[in-house]
Amino acid sequence: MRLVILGIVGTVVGLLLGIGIVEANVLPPQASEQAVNTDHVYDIMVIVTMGIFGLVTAVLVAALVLFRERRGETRVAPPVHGHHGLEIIWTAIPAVIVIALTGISWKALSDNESGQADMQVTVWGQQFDWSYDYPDLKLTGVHQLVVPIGAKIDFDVESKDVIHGWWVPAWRVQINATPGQTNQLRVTPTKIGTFKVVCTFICGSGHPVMGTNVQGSIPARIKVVSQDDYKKFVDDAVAKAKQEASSPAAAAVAVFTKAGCGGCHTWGAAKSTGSVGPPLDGLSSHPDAENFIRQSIEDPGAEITQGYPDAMPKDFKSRLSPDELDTLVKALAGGSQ
Amino acid sequence: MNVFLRPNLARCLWVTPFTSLIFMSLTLFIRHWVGMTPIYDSQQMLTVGYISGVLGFLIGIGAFDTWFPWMIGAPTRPEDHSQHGAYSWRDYFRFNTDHKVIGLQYVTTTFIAFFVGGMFAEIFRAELAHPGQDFITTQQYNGFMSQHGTLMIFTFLVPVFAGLGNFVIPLMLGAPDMAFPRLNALSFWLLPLALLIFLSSFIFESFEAGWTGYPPFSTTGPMGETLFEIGIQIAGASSIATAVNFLVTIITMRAPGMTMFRMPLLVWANLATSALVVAATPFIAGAQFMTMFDRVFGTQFFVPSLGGDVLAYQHVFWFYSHPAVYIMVLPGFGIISEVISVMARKPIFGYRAIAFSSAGIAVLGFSVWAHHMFASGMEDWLRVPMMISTMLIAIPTGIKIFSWLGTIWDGVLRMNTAMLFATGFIFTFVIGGVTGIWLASVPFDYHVHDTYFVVAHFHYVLFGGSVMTVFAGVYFWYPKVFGRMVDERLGRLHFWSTFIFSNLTFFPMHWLGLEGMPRRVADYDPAYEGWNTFISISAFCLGAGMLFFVYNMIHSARHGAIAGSNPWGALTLEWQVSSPPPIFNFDVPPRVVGGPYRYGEPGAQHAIFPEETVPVHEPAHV
Repeated sequence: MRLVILGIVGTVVGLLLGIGIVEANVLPPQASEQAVNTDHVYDIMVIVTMGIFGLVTAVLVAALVLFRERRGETRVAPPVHGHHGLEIIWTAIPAVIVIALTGISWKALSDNESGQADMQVTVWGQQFDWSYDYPDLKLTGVHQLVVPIGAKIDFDVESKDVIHGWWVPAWRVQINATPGQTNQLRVTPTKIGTFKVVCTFICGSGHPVMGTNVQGSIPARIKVVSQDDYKKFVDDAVAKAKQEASSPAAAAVAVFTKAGCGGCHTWGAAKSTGSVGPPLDGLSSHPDAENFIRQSIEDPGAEITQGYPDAMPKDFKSRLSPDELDTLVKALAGGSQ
Repeated sequence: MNVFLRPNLARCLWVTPFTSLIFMSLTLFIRHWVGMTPIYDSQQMLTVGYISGVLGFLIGIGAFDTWFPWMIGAPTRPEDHSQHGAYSWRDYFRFNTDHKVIGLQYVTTTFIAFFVGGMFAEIFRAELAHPGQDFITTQQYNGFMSQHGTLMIFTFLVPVFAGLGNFVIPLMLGAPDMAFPRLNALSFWLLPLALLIFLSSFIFESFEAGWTGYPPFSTTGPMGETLFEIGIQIAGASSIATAVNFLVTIITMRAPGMTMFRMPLLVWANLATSALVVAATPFIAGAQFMTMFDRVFGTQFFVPSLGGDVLAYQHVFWFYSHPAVYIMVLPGFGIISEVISVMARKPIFGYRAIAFSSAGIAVLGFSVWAHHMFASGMEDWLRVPMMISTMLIAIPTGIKIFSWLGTIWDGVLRMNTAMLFATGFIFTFVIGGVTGIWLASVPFDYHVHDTYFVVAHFHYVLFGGSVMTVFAGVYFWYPKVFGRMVDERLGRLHFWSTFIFSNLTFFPMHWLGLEGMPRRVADYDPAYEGWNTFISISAFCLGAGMLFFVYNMIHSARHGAIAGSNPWGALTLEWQVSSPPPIFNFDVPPRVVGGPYRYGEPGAQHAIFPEETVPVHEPAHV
């Protein structure tokens, strides 16, 4: 009897504690449909499991207080070896609870991924930056992700080198960028604003600051805008892409941005502020600037600037076309004008 | 014989480099002979040098002194006990076949790894106390972080239970030793080598892809990564050999009368664990061979541009490394069952349910691996089945928790240090179990995967869970090993500092993960500074509290009160012999007559020692 009352009290206290944790709401802002569904599962799980936690803790603490051996005590414990009824109850009830939790999780998962997508964006992870392609608009190498509110978006996440993890905490979703395959993620943004993107998978010396060049602060940010603003963004971006095709300086910046160089390097012309690798302004003063720059891109390990790690990917020679490489080398060697 | 020729550490000093040099020269010769240029390849030299060095060390220490003559057909003595038992402290630094010596060698070595790994954590917690780069670079951080995980898992938590089991299990079974004593000694001596191999990678730039070593980051990483791969092979071989030994010992060497359901629950737990180790460990060996071949021989298992599959590594890796979580906690469950029943003076509640739940966890443990890969981009359909099996595994774990509560309810609880750790374990482990259920939910995992929430979860399971059980076991069996009692006052201080500061260190990590802090970062959003500073300070206090433990262990071995053979009034067999036990364990073979937990039953006995040794009746062979 004593045990039953204690169990009930412990469970209730645990449930209240669970409600308290849910109410304390430490999660980031809820900015997608997926976040709403996931948080719903989270709330239920927290409350139910905290009930179990309360039960166990109450019985444990009460037992330690009630049955602790006192000095001079001659009490003998009853030689009880078990109780089938109790054992069946504490197998069956947790079984029902975990099956129910599995059910609501499954439901939320399929809701999160249901329906036809309205648009598609490709996310590229690389050491140490993110970039985005809009295949429908033929836009590539966009640095700051801009998406419209309310659209069901399929993100195809890919990597150019090692594994990265693309996580938008406010959207409650993440998926690895795995080289050699395309991983998919569905998001329906429901809030306008800027949200951070975090790399969750260790990818090298730039991992903690991956993508800082976008705003110069940890971490990188993405933008959700209204449908009208999105149209404006699309028009501007398409016009800019056309302009880049005609001016060599702008083309060099485009190559630089698309290749993700700004994740690690500071270069005034591209407004990048990365600090994993050496800054690139003022390279024109090098006695043999063009060859030095070309060598540093094609074979980065050949000559390491003092104070910096040998962290630059070694395969830019194959990632950039000969034309792109020429454009970039000339622009870097000629100063940032 | 000269000290450099006898089998001992002095002989290792020259045999190890000598063997390495022979094999390295042979490699150079072969490369020259077949016309490879250049004839020197640093990766290959490193690999050949280290692996042959391990062989050389084992020859030096005397692992093959019996086997080599036997292999070539030279006469050997089947009843050769010259390598058995500790007569002086020097015997602890030799190839010793006594399971009690090996047990102590194991536990000491693993605790050295624990403290070194802990120091690495303190170093990177110092870096993380404040955002921005303060003491160490990101690369150094990655190195320390990877070493911390690797040492804690492969050279502490997995082998420490092999050490405790080594000392206790043959005694519990009423056996004179393990089934294969020489293999047992060989398994032990591989362990310090694995530890040295991991640590020596600092010389070549430490591996930095974490203890998980995912390619392509690991296959393109610095030279130290190759040493990580070799170290895992060595630690894994040690682990497998010990598990085979436990399986055979438990199945074939039980005292007369000890039926399966009269075995103490630690033995059941070790049986389940050993089965897991034997079945699962070859997978991590395979995974590490493949990454090593990619690095050293230029194979393309995990090179996506050449048709390799990066995800394949993760499946193979976790097919071991999830069961490894149970390898690191099931024996701990066994320890808790022993400690709680003895200290509550009450039979364990639901013996068969606990025994079967160990077996259930071992079986189910093989069907949950991909829950580590929900966010990896694996096949979509795999997610839900893995979520179901992961949720289900909470049931046998819950049965154990409730059974322990049933045991202490109505008991007469002796709240000494071992019991404090056992009950403290229940509290912290339940928190780890609860967050485990949350993480099993795929949509929630999509939010917190690879964040500090996961770091919090597995530290609750592995520190709040496994490490607490290790301490419970160490305090519980210390009087048996040394014949002296530990200082209870220092023990309490150690418990309370560990309990309070581990919670203060690991609990706030849940918050950081939910808010948005990823794991394995040397730097973070300044918004998280407050909790990170708090965590770092708590981690320093947690580390400092370990000094109580170290001092207590060393001091009590000499100055503790004399323990006598059975200070806790326990029924299991290891407590029925002197402390420390005789060199061959039992002067009179015991006969088991009842269950191991018959506390509170007047006059109940688990085993008797017949005055005259009755020859065990062997069934006549036809």
